[in-house]
Amino acid sequence: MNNWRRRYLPVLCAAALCGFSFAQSTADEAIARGTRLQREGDLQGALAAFRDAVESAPQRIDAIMSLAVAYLHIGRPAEAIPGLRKARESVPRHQGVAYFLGLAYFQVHRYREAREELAWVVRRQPDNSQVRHLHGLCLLKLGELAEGIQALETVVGADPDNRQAVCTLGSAYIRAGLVDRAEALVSQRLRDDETPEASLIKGSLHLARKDYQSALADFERARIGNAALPTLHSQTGVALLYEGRRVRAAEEFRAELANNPSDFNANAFLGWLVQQNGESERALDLLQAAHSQNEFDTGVQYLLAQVHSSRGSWRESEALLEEVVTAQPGFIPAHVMLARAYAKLNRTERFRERRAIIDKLNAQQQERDLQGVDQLYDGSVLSMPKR
Amino acid sequence: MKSSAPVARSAICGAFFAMAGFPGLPVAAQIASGAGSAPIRFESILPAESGIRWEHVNGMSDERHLPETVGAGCAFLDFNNDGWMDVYFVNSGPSDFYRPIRPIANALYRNNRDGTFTDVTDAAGVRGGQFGMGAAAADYDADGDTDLFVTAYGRNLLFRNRGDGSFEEVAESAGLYSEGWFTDAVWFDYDNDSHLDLFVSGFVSYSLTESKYCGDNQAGRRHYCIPRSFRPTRCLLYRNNGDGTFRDESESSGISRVGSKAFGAVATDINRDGSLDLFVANDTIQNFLFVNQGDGTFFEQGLLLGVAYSDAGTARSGMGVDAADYDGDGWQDLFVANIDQEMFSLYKNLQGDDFVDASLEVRRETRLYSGWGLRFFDFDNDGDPDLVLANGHPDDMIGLFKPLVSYKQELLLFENTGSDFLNVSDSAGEVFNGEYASRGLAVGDYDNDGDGDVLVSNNGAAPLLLRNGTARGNNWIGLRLVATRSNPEAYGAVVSWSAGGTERSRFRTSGGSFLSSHDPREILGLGAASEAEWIEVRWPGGPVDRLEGVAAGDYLEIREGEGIAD
Repeated sequence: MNNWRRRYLPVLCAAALCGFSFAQSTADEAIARGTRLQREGDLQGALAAFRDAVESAPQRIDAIMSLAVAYLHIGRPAEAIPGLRKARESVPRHQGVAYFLGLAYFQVHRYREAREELAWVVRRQPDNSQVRHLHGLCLLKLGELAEGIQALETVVGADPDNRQAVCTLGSAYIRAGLVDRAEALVSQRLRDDETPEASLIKGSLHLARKDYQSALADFERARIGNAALPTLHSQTGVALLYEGRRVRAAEEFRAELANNPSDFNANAFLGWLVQQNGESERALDLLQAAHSQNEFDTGVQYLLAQVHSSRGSWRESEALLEEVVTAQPGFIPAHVMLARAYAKLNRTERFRERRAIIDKLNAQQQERDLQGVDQLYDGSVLSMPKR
Repeated sequence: MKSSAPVARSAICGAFFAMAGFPGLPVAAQIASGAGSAPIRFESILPAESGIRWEHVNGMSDERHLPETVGAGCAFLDFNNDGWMDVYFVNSGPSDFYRPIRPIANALYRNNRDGTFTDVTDAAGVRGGQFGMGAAAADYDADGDTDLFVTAYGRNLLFRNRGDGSFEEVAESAGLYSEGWFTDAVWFDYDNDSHLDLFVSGFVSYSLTESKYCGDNQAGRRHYCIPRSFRPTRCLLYRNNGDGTFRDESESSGISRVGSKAFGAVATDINRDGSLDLFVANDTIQNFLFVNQGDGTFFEQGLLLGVAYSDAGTARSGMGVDAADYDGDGWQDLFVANIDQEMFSLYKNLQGDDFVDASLEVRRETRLYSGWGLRFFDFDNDGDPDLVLANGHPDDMIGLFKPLVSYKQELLLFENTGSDFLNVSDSAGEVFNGEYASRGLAVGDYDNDGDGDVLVSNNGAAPLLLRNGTARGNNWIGLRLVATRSNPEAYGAVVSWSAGGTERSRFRTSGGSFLSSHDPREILGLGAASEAEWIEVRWPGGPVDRLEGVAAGDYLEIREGEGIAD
C-alpha cells in the first residue's frame, strides 16, 4: 500500500487538479464525508462513505469516480473498474474518468486496455506529464519499447528534474539495449544524485554492462536509502545470479516478491532457479505469474516451456515454443526444444523440418562465431532470447 | 591367442596378497566385515612409491594455443600379457606452434607387480613425437597382445605390439594415416565381423595460422579461445579389413557427414539391437548419438533422443562421456561432463526410445566444475556402477573473471544409490580435497586386489595414481574375457551374475572417459556374498558361457565357448 501511495498518489493528485467537475446532488453529504475521511487518512471510512454516495445516486459520475479512486487508493483496482467503465460509457468525453480507468487497468496488468484509455487522454492533454508518464510505462509493459521511450523522452524533455521519469526512461533505455543513451541520461541528470532511486538506476546500468560487482555496490547504496524500492531486490538477485551466487539470488527474488508479488523479473528468475532444483510445481506457479504480467515476453515463454517439457506437458510446451520461435527466429535453443516437443508428440514431419532449421541456424551461428573476437570459455549462466 | 597362464598367475598372486596381507597392498576386498557405511578410501600414491616420475608438459605459451590446454590422456593396459596392468601416458610434442626446449615424450611404465612401475618407454618404442592427445588400447590384430592407438594434434599413431615388449608404429601402412586435431579414439566392432574397427574424434580445424586472439587487450592477457571460434572438423571411422589394415569408411558410414568438435566417445548398444552405437561429446555444438543401422551406416539421432543439447535446448561444452546401466533396468544410460554452469548430465535410457536427464544431485553438484575424464565403475564392489570424475577448467585465468570457478578443481566421486548418485567426494580420501588441472582418467586394478584403482592425467603436471583402499568388506570376482569368435576385446558382450540372490548384469562398452583407456578386465562386485551362484557371459556373436558356484577373490579367464580357461 505504501508503495502504491508513493507511486500513484502524485498522479491522483494531479488528476484531481485537472478540473474534473462533480455535480451537486443528494449524495453531496456522503461525498464530502468521504473526502474528509480520506484527507484524515481513514481510507476504509472514506470508501464506505463513497459507497453510500453511489448507492443513493447510482448515476452520479462524481460519486462513482470518488468510489473508484478510493478503491484505487486502498489497492483494490479490480473493484474500481466496473464503476469506471460505467462512468466511461455515461460520459465518454470525460478525461478524468478515462484516466482513472486507464490507471485501474494498468494496476491489474490489463495493459492493452490501459494503453487505449491513456492514449485517448494523452491526445487531449498532451502537456499532462503525469498521464504521459503512465502511458509511457504502459507501452513499456507491452514491450513497445520505442513508443514508450518516445513518450518518456517527451516527459523528461518537458521536466528534466522529474527524477521518477528520468529513472523510468533510463530503465527503458537499458531494456531496449540503448545502454549508451542510458549512460548519457544518468550522467546528465543523476551524476551527483545519491538518492536511492539514482543508485538503483546506476546499478541497473552496471547490470546491463555485466559489471555485476559494481551493480551490487550501487544496489547496496540504494538499499541503505530505501530497501523497499521496487525492483531493487530483483535486480540485486539478477546480479547475484550472474555472479553465480544462486542461494543469495533466490533470497533477493523472494524478498522482492514479498514486497511486490507481481515483480516480473523476480517471478521469472526465481521460477528458473527453482526449476533447476527440480521444483517444477513451484516453478510453474512463478513463471505463470510472470507470464500473466507479460504474455509476450519470449524469455518467460521459453522458461515456461522448459517447465512444461520437464513435466511431460509437451502440447503446452509446443504452443509456447511456437510463439517464441516466431518472435525470435534466431534463438536456437527454442527451436531445439520445439523439435523435442514435436518428437515427443510424434509429429515426425515437423520434427524433420525443425531439425533442418536448427542445422541451418547452427551453421549460420558458426559463421558468425568465426568472425567473433574475444570468445572465452564463458559458461553462460542462463541463455535467454532477447526480450 | 596367447596362453592363459598369465591370468592364472595373477589369480594366484591375488590370492597370495589376500592371505598374506602383502605390505602396501590393501586386502580389503577379501575381508568380510560390515559393508555399506565403512569408509571409502582412495590414496594418492606418490612418485617415490610408485616410481612414476613422468610429468605432462603442456607447452603453455603466451599465445595460448588451444591444444595446450586439452591434453592429455592415459591408459591402463597389459602390454606384456603378464596379468598386471601397465600404464601409458600421452605427452605434448613438437607442432607448428610448439618447439619443446628439451625432448619430451609419452611414457610407458611396466608394472613390477609389487606396487611399483618401471619406465620402459624407449625399449618399447612408444615415445610418440607428436603433440599427443589420447590413447586407446586394444588387440586390433587379434594376435593376443594389446596394441595402442595414440591421437594427436598433428598425426595419429598406431603402435602395433610385437609381442616381445616392443611396438612398431604402423599407422600409415595400416591405412590409419590422418592429420589434423584428433582427441578420443574408440575401438569397437561396428559391423559385427569380429574385427575391431576404429572411431576417432575429430576436434576443430586448428593450426598456427588459424589461431585467434582471445583475451583482454588492455591488460595484455591472452586466454584460451572457446572452440566456438574455430571451424568444426570431421570424425573418422575405419573399418578393419582383418589383415592388419583398415579402410576409411567415415563418409560412407555417415560418421563424417556432420561437422564435429568431438572429445570423449563411448561405444555401447543403446537400443539393444546387437549393434554398437556411439555417443560422442562435442564442445560448444550438439553431442552426437550415432545409432548403428546394422548395415554399415550410422544415423545421428542425438536431437531426437534427447542427448544432443541440454534440457534448455543449448549446446554445451561436452568433454567426457561414459555409458552404463546405472539403475539396473537393462538399458544403457549415458553420462556427459560439461563446463562450469552447464552442469553434467546423467541420461537415463527410456528403453531405447528416448533419454531423460535424470539426476538432480549430479546437476547440483557439478555446476561449478568442468569435467573431462570420467568412468562408471563399482568402487566398493557392491555390484552397482558408481562414478568418478576428473575436473579442471580449460582457461588457466578463469578466476580473473569468474571468482567462483577455479582452473584447478577437485576430483569427484559419486556413489550409486540405486536410482541416483550421491556425491561422496568429501569422505573419499585426502586426494579428493586437492585441486588439479585434470584431463584423462582411466580405471584399472593395478595391484590386482580386486577393486578398481584410478589413474588421472593432469595437464602440465604429474599424474595421479589413486589406490582404492575402500574397506566395505565386499567380495569380487575378476574376469578376463578371451574371445575366440567375437571381436578380440569382446566389446558388446553382456556379463550377468547372481550373488547373494541378487542378479546383475553389465554391458561391455568400449571407450568412455576422455582421451583414456581402461583395464579391459571386468570386476564383478558380489557385495557380502562369498561366491557368485552363477556367472553368464553372452558373447557379441550370441553364444553363452555359464559358470556355476564361482568362489570370490580371484581373477578368472573365460574363453568364448569354453567357460573357465584354467
